[in-house]
Amino acid sequence: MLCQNCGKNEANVKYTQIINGVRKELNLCSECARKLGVDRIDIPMDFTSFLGDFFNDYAESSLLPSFSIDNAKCKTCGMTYSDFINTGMFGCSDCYDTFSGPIDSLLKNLHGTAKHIGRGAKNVDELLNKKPSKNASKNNENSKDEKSTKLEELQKELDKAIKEERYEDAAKIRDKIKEMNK
Amino acid sequence: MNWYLQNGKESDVVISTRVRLSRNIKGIPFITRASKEELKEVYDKMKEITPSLGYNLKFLKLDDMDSITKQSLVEKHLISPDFAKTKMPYTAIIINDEENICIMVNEEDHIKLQVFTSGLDIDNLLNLAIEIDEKMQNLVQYSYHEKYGFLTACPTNVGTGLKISTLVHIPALQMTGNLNKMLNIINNLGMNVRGLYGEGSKAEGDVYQVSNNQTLGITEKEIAKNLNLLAQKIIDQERLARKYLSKNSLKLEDEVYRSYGILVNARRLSEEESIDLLSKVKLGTDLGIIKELNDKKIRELMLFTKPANIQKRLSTKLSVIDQEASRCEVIKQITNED
Repeated sequence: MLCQNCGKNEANVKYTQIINGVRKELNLCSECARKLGVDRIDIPMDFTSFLGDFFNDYAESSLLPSFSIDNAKCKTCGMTYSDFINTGMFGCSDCYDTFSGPIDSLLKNLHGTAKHIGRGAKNVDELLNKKPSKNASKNNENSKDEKSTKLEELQKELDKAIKEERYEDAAKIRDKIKEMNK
Repeated sequence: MNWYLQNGKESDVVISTRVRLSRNIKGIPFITRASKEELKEVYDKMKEITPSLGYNLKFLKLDDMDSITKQSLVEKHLISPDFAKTKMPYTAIIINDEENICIMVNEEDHIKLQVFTSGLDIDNLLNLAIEIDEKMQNLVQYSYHEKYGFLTACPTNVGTGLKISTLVHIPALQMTGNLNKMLNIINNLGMNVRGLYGEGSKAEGDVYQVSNNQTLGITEKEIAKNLNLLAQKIIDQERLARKYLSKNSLKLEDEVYRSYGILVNARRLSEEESIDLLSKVKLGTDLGIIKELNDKKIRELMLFTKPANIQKRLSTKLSVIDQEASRCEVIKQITNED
């Protein structure tokens, strides 16, 4: 059979596509299959887990007795340790703190160090750093008190900024307070 | 004129340079864990701030583009192949007319700020990226960690979030058998190198992408310095190899003109073949052997012989087979221009 795309070469790749129950079959030559990008689909390889395996290895060797990484789960996004192993990707900013034990070894292995020395972020709401306000609503019970202390701290920071005539910063802090009070 | 058609510094060896900063918005999970609403939040925020960034940037929704347009952006290296195919909702790019600034929204991270130039110009490019980054920081609060720096979904980008990459065209190193030596050295210096097209050690078209691996525990300036040094070394070695090849000038002239002959006279060319031919023709043009072409035409040929860009240029949808004849048409157009 000739390739159904080019009609030129002998077909040697059979491509079956099922989308929403609709079955489509195509006979392609290897050149067309590669061009259409269908040959890649058949390979059951997942390279994303590579990084996770790396992480796994280092986590084990640096495991503290009191810290069981297997049960560690990010409170903010629900990312578990095995999720990270499978994807090599973190779920949210807080994952970096949740898995901070073994993450140092991983980062040292990837970058030779685990300490950032480059440019800093502009940080008008540094006080919010530990628990972002957006996620606070998700676990409301324990964050209520934190929220009010944060508001107090922000208010202090705002007063200070005004006193020091840093109006741009003050405006940003004011916006943050507004957002938290929503 | 678009950056990728312009002549750049050291452009006999360096095709282009890209600086990329990965950023995430504080309080919103990374895209793998973000809900539809949260992705929309990123999308809306970025849309909202686009006019304030300046540079005539426009916010374009990815879903509004057809697949050929998206593929043409991949061929210009403006977006990643995965991003062109993504099924994720609320994806967008923020781009200017020159296309030297292209910010991907909701790709691997919330924000992938990218700036480009033809040739090698890392310092100016990094300054531009930082300038835009500073503006953006006034408008969105980034996710930042005291110890780990800018936080990213993938730990390979954390810290500075900075990846600098240059595309180098090194056919003479390949022809003189020095390619693997060079690739090894690059790897030993802790840099990443891969063929731009194709797989394995010999890349189609002799084009390689060199980029930094380390993003944490190193300053932006150091990354730039290292990449600059390495690029300069590659340029020196490639030029040396070219000089060596030029000693047997008849053989080299024959080789590059044969490629030129096929390129401008063929009636059907596959993408692979045109990449191979163009590599030789570019070498011949850079060495002043082929007088019929110039740097700008080479750049046009390299872009407009790619599948999606052929279709864009001719404004028709073409099958892979029809593209082969159209590719030759386009080559004729470009080589016959004044």
